[in-house]
Amino acid sequence: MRSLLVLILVALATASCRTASFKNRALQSPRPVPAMALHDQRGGTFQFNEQRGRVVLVFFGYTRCPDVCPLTLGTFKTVEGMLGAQADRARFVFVTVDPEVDTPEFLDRYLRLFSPNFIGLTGSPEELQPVYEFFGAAFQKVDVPKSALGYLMAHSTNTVVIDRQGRWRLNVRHDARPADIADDIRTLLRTR
Amino acid sequence: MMSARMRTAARAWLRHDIRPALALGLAIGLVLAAWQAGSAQSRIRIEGVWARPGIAAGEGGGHMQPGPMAGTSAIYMVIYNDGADPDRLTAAEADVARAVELHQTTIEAGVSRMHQVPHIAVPARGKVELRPGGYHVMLIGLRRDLKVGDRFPAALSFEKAGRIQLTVEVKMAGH
Repeated sequence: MRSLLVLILVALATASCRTASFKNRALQSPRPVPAMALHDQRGGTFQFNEQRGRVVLVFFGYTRCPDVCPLTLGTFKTVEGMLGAQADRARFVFVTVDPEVDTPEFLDRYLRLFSPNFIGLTGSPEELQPVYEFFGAAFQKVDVPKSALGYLMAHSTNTVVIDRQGRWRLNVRHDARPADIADDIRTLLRTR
Repeated sequence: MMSARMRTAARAWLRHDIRPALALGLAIGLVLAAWQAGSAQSRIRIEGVWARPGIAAGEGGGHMQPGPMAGTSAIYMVIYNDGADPDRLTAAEADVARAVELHQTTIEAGVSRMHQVPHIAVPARGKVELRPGGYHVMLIGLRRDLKVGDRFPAALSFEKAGRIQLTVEVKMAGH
């Protein structure tokens, strides 16, 4: 069983080395990420174009989101575990689309439920807008008057992946397999 | 005065004829009792109950401060209906949340949307799955943090099967 697994991994590794093919959807041409900064949950500044050398996964969501966001963060958690020692060469980033509710303190407590290493980002509308726009994060406030929630966000569910050179390279679907995401991160850490 | 022959015939009738009738009557009775019990008792089975982690928001609220309804979670499960009649989940309760509602998430063209639903149908001799990206019991305004491994009580109300109590375990989604 184990040798079979090793064989499969070797086969996959050779395949990806030769073609740098990905399990998730690659952009036809990688897009360099411009200078954009947001604030993390611990009061620090996160520069999108100064993460060189690391693979960055960015997901747009909100803490009240019932299931796609926690599902994605749960997937991130699994991927982080799969990467083992390589996990510190990856960054898992959650950008809020509901900054009124998702204060840095709230983001901090929420993300700690998943991993102490995950980064939660927020900012002023002027700071957030270019980030949403560049990555094509689509969302919309939807009133639900009969619900105690008052309103909800309809939002895009893709995770974007930025390579070590600071280029947006991949789009990951919300239901992607953790093993496939971990494979693609390893590929990006190995190749240029 | 009955003659000996008549008595013998009566005994024979009792012995041979009434027994199948009695057995048939008993069988009908049992079937009726079972049917009665079936409509009165639950034919609903719940398996694989879990909730995602979530945090309680402060009581305060207001400007740049999440209000008490901000902390949320969702309960998932598989509801089986072993009965011959369809049933409906009409409401849910849980003390850990200020409000409990039935919701459905739909994901179309990569965009996730959620809406409240009045009930969730459970087909006869069938099942309905409450899972991420679909139906869920929405917990709104958590009174305490729900961390992986925590357990809390909840109850579901069905149109026919009535109220069913559950113990929900908090688990990590995405596995």
